[in-house]
Amino acid sequence: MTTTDREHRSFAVERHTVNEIEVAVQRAGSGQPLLFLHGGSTAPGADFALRWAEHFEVVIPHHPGFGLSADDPGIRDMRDFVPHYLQLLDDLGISSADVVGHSLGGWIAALLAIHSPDRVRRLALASPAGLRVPDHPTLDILRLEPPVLATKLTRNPQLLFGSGEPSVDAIVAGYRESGSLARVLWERNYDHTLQRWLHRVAMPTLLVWGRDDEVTPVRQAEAWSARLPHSETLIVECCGHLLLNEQPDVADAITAFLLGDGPAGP
Amino acid sequence: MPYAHLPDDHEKYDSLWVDFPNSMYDPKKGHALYRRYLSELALADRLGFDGLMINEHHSTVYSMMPAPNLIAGALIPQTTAAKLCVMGTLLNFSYPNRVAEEYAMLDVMSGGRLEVAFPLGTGMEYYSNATQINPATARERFEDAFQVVLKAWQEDGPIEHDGPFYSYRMLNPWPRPYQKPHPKVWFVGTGSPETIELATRYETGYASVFVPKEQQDRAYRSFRKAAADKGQTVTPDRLMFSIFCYVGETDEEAEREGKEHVLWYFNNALRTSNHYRMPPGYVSPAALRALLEAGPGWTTGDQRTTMSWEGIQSWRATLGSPETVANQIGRWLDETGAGRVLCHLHLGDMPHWKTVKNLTLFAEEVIPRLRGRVALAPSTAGASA
Repeated sequence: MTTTDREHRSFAVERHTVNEIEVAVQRAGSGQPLLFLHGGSTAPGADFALRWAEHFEVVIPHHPGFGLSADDPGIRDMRDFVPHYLQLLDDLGISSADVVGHSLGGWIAALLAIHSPDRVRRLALASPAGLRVPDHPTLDILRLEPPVLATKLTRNPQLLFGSGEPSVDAIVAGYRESGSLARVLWERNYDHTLQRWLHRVAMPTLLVWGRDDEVTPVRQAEAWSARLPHSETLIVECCGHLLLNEQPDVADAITAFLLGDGPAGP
Repeated sequence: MPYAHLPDDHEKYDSLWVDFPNSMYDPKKGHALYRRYLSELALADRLGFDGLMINEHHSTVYSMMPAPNLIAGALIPQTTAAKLCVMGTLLNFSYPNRVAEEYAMLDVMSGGRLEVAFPLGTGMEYYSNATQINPATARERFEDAFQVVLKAWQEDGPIEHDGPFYSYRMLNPWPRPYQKPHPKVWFVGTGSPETIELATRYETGYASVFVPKEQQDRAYRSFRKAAADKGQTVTPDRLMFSIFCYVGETDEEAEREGKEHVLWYFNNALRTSNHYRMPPGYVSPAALRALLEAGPGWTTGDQRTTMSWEGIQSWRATLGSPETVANQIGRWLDETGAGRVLCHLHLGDMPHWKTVKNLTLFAEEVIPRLRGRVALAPSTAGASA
């Protein structure tokens, strides 16, 4: 496979056991490791990440309780993901990685960077959840019926459900993932840890946001950048919460940032 | 115990649970309804019903009873013989020591007339109560809480408890239950394997209510199998099913007077969305798959459908003369092997006079016919309001 035949590239799926929980890890490419932490649903997929495989060794674990990974009844709190991912990085022999996180995955990535800044080389947060911004609160997604939620998540709901009526398999898989989400954010969809400790995230950080995000409103970007020591913000026009799926070129902007030498910026 | 005064435009609301605005609630009408419903329950005691069933729901026109123990307390001095069946207080939305204490109070106050159930709570309750109670961990919390109650009732305090959700340094509730070792306990389920496992693990009664007959029959088969696997005998007093019933002097009269209220109940009081019915993590993905593959009709009050009288038949609804109704219930008792029947004799917007008539005809004409046929059943009927 050459670095230019983007169309033919695909992920290999590996199984790893992290603290007795079997998790699936999609991998592609080679180079500096890039850890991508997905959002609260695996339904939209991560085809955009194949673009990163041209430059990086892309590692996409499915969170416990999501996608092809097993459930972990021990996870009760967002902070439980931190030791989980530190263990996975150890098991994969990755001492430090560029980390990209979307939505819920952005929240996990930020917690990881707060806890172990030495394991995160550069950080890209795509419409991250988790910060409490009272004037521009995160949508209470667990309150909404899935078809309504889909219209809030993206300008193109087909990304989530395809066309037509969803199959029983798709409904069950979606319900399972919403249950896994509820485990960690039924009580509240933010974490006071972030606003108190984001100043520890000292590595170059890119914030990417869709202008029309109805889940984590774009105005939240200001609250993140005010707390991050070295960040810059890229706003993507005509774009909702699922920005990497809606506009895969966003992945290229993240690549440029991660490859850059400067403090931040594509 | 419904709040039946709906606005004329109520059909524009998909759900009469959770988010139906409480500005619709008129406390003066509520006061009159409480007085009326309490009088009907007291009447059922005088008429000789074995039990009076009450239960807990929140934020809904379906029931004005978010705190059934208050109603049980109000009924104690107005009743003499009937069991007070609190089925029940929602363990997950209270501290378990508090539930143990309140139930023990009722048992002592009534001189041992209490029976209790421990429901997980409908999915709707998880939207209506504090978000600190997480539907995704509800079953684990529930079992931990239940163990606290059992310990509180059975072990000499003070004792310690160190569970995944609750811990106690000195669990030492006063009073303790009047009945030893404790009041009869039921788990209430729709057929989920988790509840059947609990009811057999703790050797309690199992009540399957608010599911169609076929689903109930499946649940009882699973319960019997799980009990047999544990070496238990399932006596009739461990199984309960519910019926929706109106008795008239003739079949025609019963249909003319009762049908509209049964329909009102199914299409309005139970109206909510499947989203509210099943918050995230509330059931396992496998349980959801089983429900979806069973096809439509597995739930009541789906906001997108209206239930017909024919559709309600599978929920054990019966209208008719005393003989018709008794024969039907008798067949259901034979089919299920259950010894308890939860009789919904006041339904939805049924007026007082019909409720009194229904309770009276049922007590005087139906119960005697059934007592002869199901000798093994220590109690055959309860009134539900």
